[in-house]
Amino acid sequence: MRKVVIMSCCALGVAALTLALTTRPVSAWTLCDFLTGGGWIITTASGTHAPEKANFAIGGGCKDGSPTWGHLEYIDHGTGLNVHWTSITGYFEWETIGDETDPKRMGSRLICGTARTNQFGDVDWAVLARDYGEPGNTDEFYIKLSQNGGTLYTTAYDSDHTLGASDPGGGNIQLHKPNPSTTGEFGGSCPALDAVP
Amino acid sequence: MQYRISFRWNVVSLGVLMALLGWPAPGGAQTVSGQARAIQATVPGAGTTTLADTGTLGSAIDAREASQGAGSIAALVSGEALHATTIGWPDQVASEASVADLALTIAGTTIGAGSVLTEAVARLGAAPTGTVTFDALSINGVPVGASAPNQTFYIPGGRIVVNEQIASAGRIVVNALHIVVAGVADVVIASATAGVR
Repeated sequence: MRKVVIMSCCALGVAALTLALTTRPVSAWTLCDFLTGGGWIITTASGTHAPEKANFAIGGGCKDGSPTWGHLEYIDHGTGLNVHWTSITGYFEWETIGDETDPKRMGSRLICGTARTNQFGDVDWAVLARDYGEPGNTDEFYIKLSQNGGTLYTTAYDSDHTLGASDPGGGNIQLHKPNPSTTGEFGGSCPALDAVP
Repeated sequence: MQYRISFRWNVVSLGVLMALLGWPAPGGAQTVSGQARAIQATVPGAGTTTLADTGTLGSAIDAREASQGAGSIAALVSGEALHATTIGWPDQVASEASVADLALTIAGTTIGAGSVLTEAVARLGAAPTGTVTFDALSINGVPVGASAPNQTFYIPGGRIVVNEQIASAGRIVVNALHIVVAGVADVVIASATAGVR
């Protein structure tokens, strides 16, 4: 499964989340963990509207061996777009920084699912969320929405994705250690990840 | 038979991993408590309403979440991207709640914030900790900066406690804002509870 994840990450080179890629290798974590966070970013939705605030709430992880725990809420005030999750379909390790025994790990996770929106109907979504430590202003949030394999919306080409490190922003994203219920592996499905731009 | 062997190996692997990660042995059962909620309001005669409430953590291997795109309680309080999570481990509980674009009016006092996020963490053998992150918090239009726990502002008929922290042995309740106006309402914004002992 881990190889599949890495392949997906490589395929992403031609997809809308290209800017999110780093050259750091994916480390070999054994157990699936959790990521949680809430806050806001400034987005132009990749140049489709003037810079505006977008609020988000995100959760992802494995519970009872399944990578389907979490949620997503997202509101872009530049367009009035509302995204409300309806399922979590995948949770993937993207980048992990630090030692495997460190309970307060940092890094990035890809969370995927389906959602209901007020502008596009039902969509697939992918969120890349990064915990780069405290106080959280350098944490990052990216989102991409797709439908039938085509991209509808993405923040991937915005100039800034942080929760306030350069452009305004707020909130925090936390990567948590696994708990004993997370005996499954990272994985699942992520149709939005490979949607064409 | 094949399933039984596989199950045994998984159990053995999990045990080894738990030992490596420093989890307490299963026999050393701990008592955990955790809950998070984005908004709670109690109005005399109308009862208590909660938005995005995880409910209580069921065990040391439970993980619970709740979210809501937007929510309001009468003309009292509204917010976006409501977020609440609580995650348990045998040696730790982490709970988190956030609200974006908070707007609250109570007995003539207005409170606003771009976002608020509360984190509560309890670790076995250590004092529990609480963190509240505010963005653009204001009371009656006057900006309020980051504060030490339990900073109290008195308003006509009541009070506002900013970064309210109530700690006891191994347990902490952290409320980003707690507003009480006698006879009008008792409102808690971004509440997170974590305990382990």
